[in-house]
Amino acid sequence: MDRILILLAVLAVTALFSAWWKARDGRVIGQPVVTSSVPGSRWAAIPVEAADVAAAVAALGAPTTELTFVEFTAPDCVPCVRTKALLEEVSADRDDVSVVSLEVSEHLDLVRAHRIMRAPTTLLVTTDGHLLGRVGGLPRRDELVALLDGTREHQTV
Amino acid sequence: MSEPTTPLMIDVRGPRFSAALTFTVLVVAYLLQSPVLLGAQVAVFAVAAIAGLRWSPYGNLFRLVKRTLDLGPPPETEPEAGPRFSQTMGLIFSGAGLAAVVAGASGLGWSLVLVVVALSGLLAATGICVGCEMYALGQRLRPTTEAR
Repeated sequence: MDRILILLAVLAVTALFSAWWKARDGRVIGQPVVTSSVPGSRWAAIPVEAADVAAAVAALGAPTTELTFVEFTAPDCVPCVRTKALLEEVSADRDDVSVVSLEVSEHLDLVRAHRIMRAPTTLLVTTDGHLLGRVGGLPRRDELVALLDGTREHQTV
Repeated sequence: MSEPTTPLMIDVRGPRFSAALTFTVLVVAYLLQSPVLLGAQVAVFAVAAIAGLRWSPYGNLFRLVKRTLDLGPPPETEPEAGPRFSQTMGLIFSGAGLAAVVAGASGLGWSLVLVVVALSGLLAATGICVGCEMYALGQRLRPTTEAR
């Protein structure tokens, strides 16, 4: 009888974990983009939080755009491949957004600094190092589109 | 390890089928407190983790079921590395559990088995593969060899 109760308790904890995981998976956590009246950078109201990531992107030598989706990937990671395709798809009509993949094992300093716990994890950063958003897992498409649309509105203001 | 350069691609339904079997076997083993049944599951993990998923007993059973019931082509395939890493995790936990049970520490032993019960149940029911997700975390905890 005890064994059955223990087993049921284990299954209940597992179900709770599953619900928690599903609630977070792919959620886009955006920085509150407050329209800044400060002259200069249009992202001036957001603290510089990803200067190291922006520097790593610049170091790749590829032509940089104002915004970059930086996806942290692992080998043999199926959701990583799907995430890359999704990021490229949602940013296809934006010439100011590019997509970059960084291998977790080759950028351990960034992984530690940004507490990246999973592959894929995606960050949206600006050239000058502002962090605009973060997603763990395969991003939810509608939230990703909303995040990008937010940056466009911000731009025109 | 001398693996072929093209990774073995497996049907994504395979690991969930295997997880469901693992879950069932370990639940029965736990309820009956049967070291023999636990030992059988440890052996299944060992074959899949060490010899590769091509040799996995549950994987082969899945292929047989697939042929018999004509389940059709895989909806998607994935490299075997992630699921194989998970089988290794399963082997470590259930193997340690078996060792503890045999050594007389049955409380500890069956607790380790219940961890595998939870993770295999999670994979079977939802497709969430905790072992596969651990990769990035494992990389992060690994000490850096340069620039330290």
